[in-house]
Amino acid sequence: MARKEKEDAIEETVAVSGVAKKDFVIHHNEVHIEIKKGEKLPDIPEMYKENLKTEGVI
Amino acid sequence: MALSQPRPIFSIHSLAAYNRVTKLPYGKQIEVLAGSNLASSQELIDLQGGSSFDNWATERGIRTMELSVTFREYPDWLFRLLLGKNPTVNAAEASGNVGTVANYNGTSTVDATTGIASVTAISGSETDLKLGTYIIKVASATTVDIYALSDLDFATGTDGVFVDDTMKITSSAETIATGADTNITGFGFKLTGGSGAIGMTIGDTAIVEVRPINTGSSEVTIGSRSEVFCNFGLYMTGQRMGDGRMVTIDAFNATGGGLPINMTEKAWSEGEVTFKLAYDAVQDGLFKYQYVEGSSAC
Repeated sequence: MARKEKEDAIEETVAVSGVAKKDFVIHHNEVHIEIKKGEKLPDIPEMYKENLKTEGVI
Repeated sequence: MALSQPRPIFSIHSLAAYNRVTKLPYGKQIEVLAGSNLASSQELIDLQGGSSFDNWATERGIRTMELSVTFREYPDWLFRLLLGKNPTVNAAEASGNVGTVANYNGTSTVDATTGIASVTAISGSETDLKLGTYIIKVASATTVDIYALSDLDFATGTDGVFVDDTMKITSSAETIATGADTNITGFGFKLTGGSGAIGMTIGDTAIVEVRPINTGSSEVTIGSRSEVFCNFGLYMTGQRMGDGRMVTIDAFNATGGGLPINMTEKAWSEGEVTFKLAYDAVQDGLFKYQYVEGSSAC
C-alpha cells in the first residue's frame, strides 16, 4: 500500500463497540493489531471492518 | 619415399545436432564434452555341424552403430531432441518476473472478488524478487500464510528467511483486505485483494512462480502428452591437432532418448547419452568420416 493510502486508511479508524468474540490479528504491511477475545475492541481502520465481520470477531 | 605420418585422433571439440531436412543446427554446439565413443559391432554367424571341430563358414549378421557422448552442459535443444519437448525461452527480465497466481487446491484463494485478485511485483522492490515457487495457504477467511519450496535464492536483495520448519516465510498470517495491496516484505511481491468482501476457505492453496532479475531463462515440462520426437543429424569434431589435422563425423540419421541430469555434491552434472545411427536414404549412408591432413605450418 502506498504511504499516503496507508495514512488515509489509518486516519479513517472507526470505533467498534463491544468486545471481541475471538482472538484475531490484523497483520497488513505496517499495520499490526492484536485483538483478544473478551477484551474491548480497539479503534481499527475502516478498511478492516469487513474482515472482522467475516472472521466473526465482531 | 618415407612413410607418411600416422593418423591419430585426439580428444573431442564439439557436438552439434541438426535438422535432417534443412541441415540447420538446432542450437549452439555442445563444447563442454567429457568424451564420446562411436561403437560399431557386427554379429558374425558361424556354420557348424557334423564332426568338424571348426567352422565350415562364417557370415556377417546384424551390424549396430552407436554413438555415445558424455557432456557437461545442457543446451535447450537436448531437451527437445532427447525428451520430446522444446523449452520455452524467456528473454532477459530487467524487473524480474512474477508469474500468474493460480489456485492449486480448492478454488477460493484466487478470486477477483472474494479472494486474492492478483500477485505482482512491488514497484521499486524488484531487486528483492527471489527465484522460487511460493505457496499461498488460506489461514483464515481473510488471511493467508506463504511458504517457499527452497531458500536457494533468499540472499538476493533483502535477505529472506524461513520463519519455522514448515518452510513458511511470513511470520504472521497476512491480511487480505478489499482492493488493498499486501506487501510480502523482503520478497518483492504483493497480493492484491479482490473487489468485494474477502472470504476464502481455510486450507485452500494457490501457487505463484517468481524469477529474480535475470539475463534470460528457459523452462520446460517433461512428460506431457504433447511431446514430439524426431530423428536428427549429429556433427561431431575432434580437437584440432597442433599440425592442423582435423577429424569430423557427420551422422545423418540419429535417434536418442533420455537425458540424465545428476546433481552430486561438489561435482558438475554429467550426462551420457547413446545415439543409435540408422541409414539415411538421401545421403545413402549412416555417417561420413572426414580426416584432414594439416600443412604443419602455422
